[in-house]
Amino acid sequence: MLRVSFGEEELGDLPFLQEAGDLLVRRGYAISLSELAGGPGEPYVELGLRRARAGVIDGRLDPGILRGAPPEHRILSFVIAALIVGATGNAYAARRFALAEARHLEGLLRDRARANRGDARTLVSAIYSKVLGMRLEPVDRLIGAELFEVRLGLSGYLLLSSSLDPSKWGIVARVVDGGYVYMKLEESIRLLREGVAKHLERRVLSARVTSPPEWLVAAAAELSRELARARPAESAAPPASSGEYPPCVRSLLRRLESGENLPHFARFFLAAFLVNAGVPLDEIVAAFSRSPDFNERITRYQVEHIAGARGGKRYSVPSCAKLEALGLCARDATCDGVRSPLAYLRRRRGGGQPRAGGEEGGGRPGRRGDRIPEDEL
Amino acid sequence: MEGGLGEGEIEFLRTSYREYYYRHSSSLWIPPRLESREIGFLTFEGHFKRHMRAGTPGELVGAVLREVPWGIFYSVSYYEDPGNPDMDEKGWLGADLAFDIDVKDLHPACMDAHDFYACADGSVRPLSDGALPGCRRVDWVCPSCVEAGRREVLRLLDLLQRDLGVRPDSISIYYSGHRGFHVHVEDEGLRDLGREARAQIADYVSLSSYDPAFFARLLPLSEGHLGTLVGWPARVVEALRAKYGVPPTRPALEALVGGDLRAAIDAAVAAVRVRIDPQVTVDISRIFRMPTSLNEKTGMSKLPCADIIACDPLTEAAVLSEEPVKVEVSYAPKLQLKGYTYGPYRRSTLKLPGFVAAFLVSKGVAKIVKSRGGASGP
Repeated sequence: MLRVSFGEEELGDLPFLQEAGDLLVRRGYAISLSELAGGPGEPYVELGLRRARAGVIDGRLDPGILRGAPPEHRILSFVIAALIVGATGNAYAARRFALAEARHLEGLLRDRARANRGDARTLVSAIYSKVLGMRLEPVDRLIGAELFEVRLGLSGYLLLSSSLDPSKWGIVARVVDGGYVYMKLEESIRLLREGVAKHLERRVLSARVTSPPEWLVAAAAELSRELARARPAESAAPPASSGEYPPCVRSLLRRLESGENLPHFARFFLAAFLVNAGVPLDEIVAAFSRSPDFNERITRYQVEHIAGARGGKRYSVPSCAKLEALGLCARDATCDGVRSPLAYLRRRRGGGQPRAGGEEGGGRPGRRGDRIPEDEL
Repeated sequence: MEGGLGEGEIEFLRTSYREYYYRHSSSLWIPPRLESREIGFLTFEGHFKRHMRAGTPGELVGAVLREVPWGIFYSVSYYEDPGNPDMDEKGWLGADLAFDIDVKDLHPACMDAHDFYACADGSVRPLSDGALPGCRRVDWVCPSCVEAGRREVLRLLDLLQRDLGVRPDSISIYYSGHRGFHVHVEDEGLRDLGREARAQIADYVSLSSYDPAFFARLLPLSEGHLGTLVGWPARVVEALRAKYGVPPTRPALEALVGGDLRAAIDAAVAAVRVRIDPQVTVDISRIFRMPTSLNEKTGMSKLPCADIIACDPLTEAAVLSEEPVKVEVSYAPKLQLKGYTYGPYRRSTLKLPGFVAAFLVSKGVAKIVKSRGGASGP
């Protein structure tokens, strides 16, 4: 384990570390919930309520919320926010909160890297080690025309990058040597976001209190109500149980329904399939509204882009072979002889054409350089 | 199996397989963590029996001797409940990393010379004439096929060890018993990888979705930095050097190929990529042929090749009896097994060693000639 000592200000930004809890103890704060006297009215409790709401409802944590608060209040507000979100028992809320917190951390680390690279690299390595149990090594290695600053073990890299756009994050687009993937510091920070989000999601979901105070129960109930109001009606989304859809599509819709953050290519495929199946754009956007990182404006833009409604070409649906190669095929006996998801749909619809159509025989969607940017849908 | 087999042929193969499995019952290869693997049998009736489990090696060998399967398979994955027929209920625990090199994908020149179409009217068409209705393709095996596969295995090994950091002692290599090689990696660090991560590895190995701009970006401006390249960029640079005969710095290449650096890189990648079947690597619910078991396409065994250089599949994997068997061969190109050459044959009735007869029968190009007593053979 990397030995790094953190300053108190720094720990205010890293509230999920053990060292942050130690700071609270040193400052004399009770960190068991039953001893958290006062409840609403205490500044850190108010901050926690705002923090929970910002993560779950807004999907992002405005740094302004925390600005000026002392480190121990920033730490406590995180603990309280995590407990409130955990008390909703809502996995989607937990993922959304975790992702917002991880993005917030990413922003802080990027700022740090701009200010002092060496310092930031040490801090990022420490977080990899303490939160993810992975060793991010500083290297400063010139490979061809590029200088790489850090390297991460292959299995850790694959674990963290599995949800990201393979054209940018796939190891085929990376320098891999001796079981390590070489990166720039900023890339390792982006990857860290994925790991921290998953880590926090697990923590929030397991953060259950046996007899929570009334104010916390009330805050969780209010958050749940607000979340239900904020999410588009799920009934508007295409049903995962539709027998017209091939098993790969049904599986992805089920994963979306359960609030899972789908990998990049899975989202692209699903959107392209639904567009080509003639599903109205509003319904497709509603399907993605269950994604923890959902942003309606960006999703709508991207779905319209895939549908060719923004002046470009309509994207075709990847073939079964492509889906198999990417690990997204869920073939069962009903797929017999079918070589593309759209062919499955045609067969199920009685041999007719999909309501609108385009499919590819293989290869990648779209042209190189005509790729959908990351973080879409 | 290629082509329908008659009762006499099935009986001959079943007898030969039974004899092999009895003779090798104590030396059959047993999958590590057997109790967590799904076992599958292909029966001589053509049925696939999946979702079986064996708690001990004795149970597995007992089932093999009892049922004498045409093909024996085991899962690359480990499960809590490997016998559960519902894949979602099996309880996935992890999987070996598997690679399949099929010589067909390498298109060696020999393939056009020996593969052919066997048609229902008894005629034979060369591969170059294309398929017709009522004709089936018959894949043949020759030493050149094996060499093409071996070269690809060596390239894969280099990549696994140098790039991905896989320890040599966690890699096992097998000749498939037909026209390919399997490479298995049992590495704890890679065991938990899901489909998406495995797809990334398959993509890396085969360079199936590489971007030329990635290689172009890494090309150094000066010759002195060429030596700093590693992994695929280093291999691509070597291919460029071989093609153009100059140290392939970015300025040198641009001067040689004009603006079309991408096309030059595409050509270099085509020369160095490793051709695997990516679906095999990605599909963690797949069951794989068990090493030392017999391949129903040839009657040869899936052969462990501890030393890929010294391994001689067309000798070592021909494990069935040498006892002569009388067969009627409709058509067979030259076949080289155990250091001898058999054929070519056309409408010939002759006695051949059991392992050669099994190969020809499995390919659907020979029938067993029964003696008056009903038994096959001399």
